[in-house]
Amino acid sequence: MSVKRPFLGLFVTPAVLIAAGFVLAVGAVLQYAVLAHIPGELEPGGFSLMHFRDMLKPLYAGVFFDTVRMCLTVSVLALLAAYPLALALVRVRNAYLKSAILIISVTPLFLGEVIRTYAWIIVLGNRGFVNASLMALGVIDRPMELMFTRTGVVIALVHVTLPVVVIMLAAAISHIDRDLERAAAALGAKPLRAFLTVTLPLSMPGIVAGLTTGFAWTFSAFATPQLIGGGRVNMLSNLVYSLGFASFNFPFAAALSVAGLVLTGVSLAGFRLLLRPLNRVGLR
Amino acid sequence: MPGTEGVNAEALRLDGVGKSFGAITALHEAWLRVADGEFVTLLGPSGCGKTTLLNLIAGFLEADAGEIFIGGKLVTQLPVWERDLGMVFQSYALFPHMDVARNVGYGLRARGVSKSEEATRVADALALVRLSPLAGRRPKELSGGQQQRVALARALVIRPRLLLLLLDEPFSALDRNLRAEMQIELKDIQRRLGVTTIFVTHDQGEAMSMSDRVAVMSEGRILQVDTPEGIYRRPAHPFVASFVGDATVLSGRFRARDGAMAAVEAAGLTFTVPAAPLDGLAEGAAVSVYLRPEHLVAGEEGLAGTVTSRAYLGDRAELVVDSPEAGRILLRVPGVEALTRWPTGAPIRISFAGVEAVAFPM
Repeated sequence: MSVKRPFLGLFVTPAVLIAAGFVLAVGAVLQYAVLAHIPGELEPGGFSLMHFRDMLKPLYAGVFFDTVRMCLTVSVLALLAAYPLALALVRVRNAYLKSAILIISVTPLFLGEVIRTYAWIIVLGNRGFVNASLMALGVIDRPMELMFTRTGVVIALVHVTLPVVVIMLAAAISHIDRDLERAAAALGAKPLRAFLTVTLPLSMPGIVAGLTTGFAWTFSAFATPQLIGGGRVNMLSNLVYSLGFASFNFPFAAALSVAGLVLTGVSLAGFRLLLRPLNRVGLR
Repeated sequence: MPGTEGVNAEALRLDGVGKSFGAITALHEAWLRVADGEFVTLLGPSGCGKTTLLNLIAGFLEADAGEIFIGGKLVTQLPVWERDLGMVFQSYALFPHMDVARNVGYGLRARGVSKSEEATRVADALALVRLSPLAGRRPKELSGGQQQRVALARALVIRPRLLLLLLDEPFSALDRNLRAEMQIELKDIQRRLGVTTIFVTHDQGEAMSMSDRVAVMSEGRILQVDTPEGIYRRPAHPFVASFVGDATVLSGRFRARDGAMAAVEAAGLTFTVPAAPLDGLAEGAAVSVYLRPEHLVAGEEGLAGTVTSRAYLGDRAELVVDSPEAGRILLRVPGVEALTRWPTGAPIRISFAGVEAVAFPM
């Protein structure tokens, strides 16, 4: 039995147009990726798979490795920071406190990436907020190296990943029936035990979704590693940028983008596979 | 306060327990004593405070006033997990990520019981509720009745000091036959184990059939605590008389007191009623007289009236009669008789066969 949907065509058309735009853009990148680069020329040469061979060189392969490592670190740290926030967001009864938590956790999403990154430069710099405070308190004598380090980039990226993860976790946590926690308590489970045996396993769908999204989110970061890493922390997006706009090697940049896309897909699929047992814990 | 020391024969004691939410008093000073092994039901309409009272007993709410004792031990300040309760929730609250055996064993693991003992006790508990073959299933794979039995087994396996059937309408999710079956089964298990049980419901049939005693609540107060028979036959409050069972209310006059009984007059007849609720009334004072439908007989003599509606229920029928003298009267007649003699609009005469009636000041 088919239901007539008179407006279906009307509603689907814009989506199809947008999707077509995306497909064309990715198609263009794909096309560039298999063309040869002629040094000194802006126009690419003929068909070549040289870029996919080149990117296996340790210099470039290392960037892939670093990027994946960065994504893992950031998504795990963001998860750890987001869980308490999400739990509080769902469970706090006071409306003002709830709003405060929501604002704190979601604001990073609404700041432009560049503005947010410059703010972090002010905070993390040698005379920035962190170092100035710690030095004034006498905790350290010399400024800590935060700018242009991996640590600095991780801190800034966790900040921007946090909102997405908080939202994903909050959605999952709000679906947990409070009676389950009450039942655990009534059966003699202390709060920590009830949390570990009931709340945490049942928030697994949110944890998996949060990790996955955090990973993909970080993979696409550009301005943050560019500005805070200052060229010393290279993520794939920065490499693509410098190859494209500093060396004008558009085909290689395109090939790297394609590889990055594939890598993200493969990583996320791997994630799913790896986390499937966890996911089932919550769903069944 | 007298007798604050532990009394073993007392499973639960509430000493003036009260609770307010802001300006709203959810529970006025509640006093209640429950003996070991007793089955006590908190009965009342939605919003009467019975769920609040159970949440206070369980420890999910903190009392503003009064003290709560479980098994003679003061627990007012004790957190939920130290109160040694078995609890069955309305939603059953089975852990969806654990199979039946893990669900039932949860309280044992929380108490640090050894693995082998857990296995034995879980098996015993599942046998008790006749679910042994389903030990490996997930809650989602069970029917409503089976889920409820798992919840019951999970609550009982820890051998709680007090079993709280902390659920409004625990059987409401089940169909009628299954419901009756579960009531009998629950009552049977409760009697065999001798576990003190507090049960919350707004279904008076459930309350009457299962309880040793019933506490009728309304607007945050416990109005009467008595056996089902006492609640029905000797209601201490007009609300109890009208909430439990059906009643026809006649307005009448207080006549005279004679020891424990008193005479009241309504619709031209004299009724003998318990005197206690009418203490201090002067002769001629207005009273409401409550009559049970089964004490009214339809026939050729008595109060005249007209049948205004007839609800045929098979074995019996419920008639609503409009009488110029007494107003609206509810009575029960055998089903066949209703079909043949009392169609809507038929004239009818009602006599009062029973001696039992209660009256309250108006």
